[in-house]
Amino acid sequence: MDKYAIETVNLTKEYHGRIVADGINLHVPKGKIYALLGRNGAGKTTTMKMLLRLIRPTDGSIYLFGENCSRFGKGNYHRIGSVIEAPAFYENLTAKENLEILARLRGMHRRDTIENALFAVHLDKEDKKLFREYSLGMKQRLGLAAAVMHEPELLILDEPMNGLDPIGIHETRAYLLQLCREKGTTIFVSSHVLNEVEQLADVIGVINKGKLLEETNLQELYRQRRRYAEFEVSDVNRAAFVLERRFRISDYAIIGNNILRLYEKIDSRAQINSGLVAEGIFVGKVCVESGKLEEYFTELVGGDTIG
Amino acid sequence: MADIVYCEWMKLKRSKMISIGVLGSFMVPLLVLVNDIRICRSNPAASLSLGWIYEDTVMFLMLLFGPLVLAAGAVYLISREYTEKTLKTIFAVPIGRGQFLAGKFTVLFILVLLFMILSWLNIVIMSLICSCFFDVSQIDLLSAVPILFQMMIGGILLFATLTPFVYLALRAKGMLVPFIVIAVVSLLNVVLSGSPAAGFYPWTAAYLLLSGRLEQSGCPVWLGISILLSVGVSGIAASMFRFRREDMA
Repeated sequence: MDKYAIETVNLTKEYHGRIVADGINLHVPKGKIYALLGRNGAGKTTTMKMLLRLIRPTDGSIYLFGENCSRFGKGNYHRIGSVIEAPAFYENLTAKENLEILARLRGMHRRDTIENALFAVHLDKEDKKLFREYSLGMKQRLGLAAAVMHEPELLILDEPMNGLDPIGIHETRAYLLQLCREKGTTIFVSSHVLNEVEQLADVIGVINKGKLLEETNLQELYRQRRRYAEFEVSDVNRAAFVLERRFRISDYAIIGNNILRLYEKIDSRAQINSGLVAEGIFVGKVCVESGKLEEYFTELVGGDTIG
Repeated sequence: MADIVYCEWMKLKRSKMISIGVLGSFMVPLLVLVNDIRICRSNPAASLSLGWIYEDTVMFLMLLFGPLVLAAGAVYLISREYTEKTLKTIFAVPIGRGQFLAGKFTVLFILVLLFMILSWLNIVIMSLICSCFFDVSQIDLLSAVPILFQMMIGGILLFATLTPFVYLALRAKGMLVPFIVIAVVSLLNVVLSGSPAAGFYPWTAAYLLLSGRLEQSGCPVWLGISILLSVGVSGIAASMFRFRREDMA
């Protein structure tokens, strides 16, 4: 069990007869970045809150660093840093004062810990400003500073890129990757921004309507999902005929009215393109794609309703 | 625990609640003094004394101002954690819920005592200033120290009557409902203060017990103390029970 920083068994939460987390079995490997993907209201935050004991599970068990949560006190939670939903601090206090409260509650009395945390998220010049005067991005960065201040072994971050500008997103991503790669910190993030997850995560878990649908290694996923060459053509039926007769290609798919996807002889796409043109078929675009996370996600959760 | 109390104290930095409390501890003795001077001017037989100023001040503090402002303070200590959504940040640290609430009660107790000490200080200072212009008796250490002692006891009694507001704030998670209840409790304090039921109403009983008039009101002292004790303990116990079971949704 202890190869996982987080493991849950049949984790369930029910609110007034409505199941918001339904038998979730999470496996977050140590030293990896695990992204919990899901639409709004899928149960990501509820799951994270259960992990942090902010809400009590209706059923199931939580194992942190291989130990059952219900069997130990606060001990293992000192090894965790977290930001859940929007970072919340005392509005009438400065960043430094807010961090001082958290540091003292953690039993840390060294002032340089606070300064180092603020420096790490580039808030060291804004430490005198009251929290209520902070922008959303600055609040998010202060939340991250509070989460990493005590150098935790596990970070639980709920939508950590929310409210950040593009540079802030890039810096935060680089910082999280550095934490994971250099210090071996396990990072468990939730997100619905697939592009972000693709650039950050090692492992993903897809959650929908309270159920964990699948957990997979992102590299493995890309291996499994085949590469293809996509042709945008003027006459898809004639193009298919040419592929079969002239190039002996049978592993292809017709998508819509003018898209052809080839799963074989991808490296001969230049010759195929010339062949199609020679047959009088207009080719608008040729590109090589691998199975995108977006497609995988849409296939799993369905895309019929607005999330 | 010392760290938790220190942090609770830090959270009050730049808070308006503190300024309101300080202003209140100044305003009540001032208004009482102005009223007592007016009475003395209209009635030459009456004479100002530290004891008289104290008795009038403590009546307003215990019956009206205390329940209103200090109960609002108690509600603020709790409800701000909900409105500013800081509980999820604090409990992820992690600290125990019982410890957290114990810190809140400790800070509330300290605030109530500080409020009473500050009020006492204002009574003494204002009486001293007043003695420069009028004849004010009992302005000496022998009179002032027992008054401080009395006000500290008043603070402890007042604290016992405030704990149910903490529970209410935990239930309501906002300020509106508790503030309405505070207004009703204070109104009942005024309405019941002269009636035979006053000794059985905890918020009035606290004042009657402090001023030594509880027996006169028809309520035995032991019963009055029991009522106050059970209100105080049940407020704390109900808050602890409720808070430990609560989801930070």
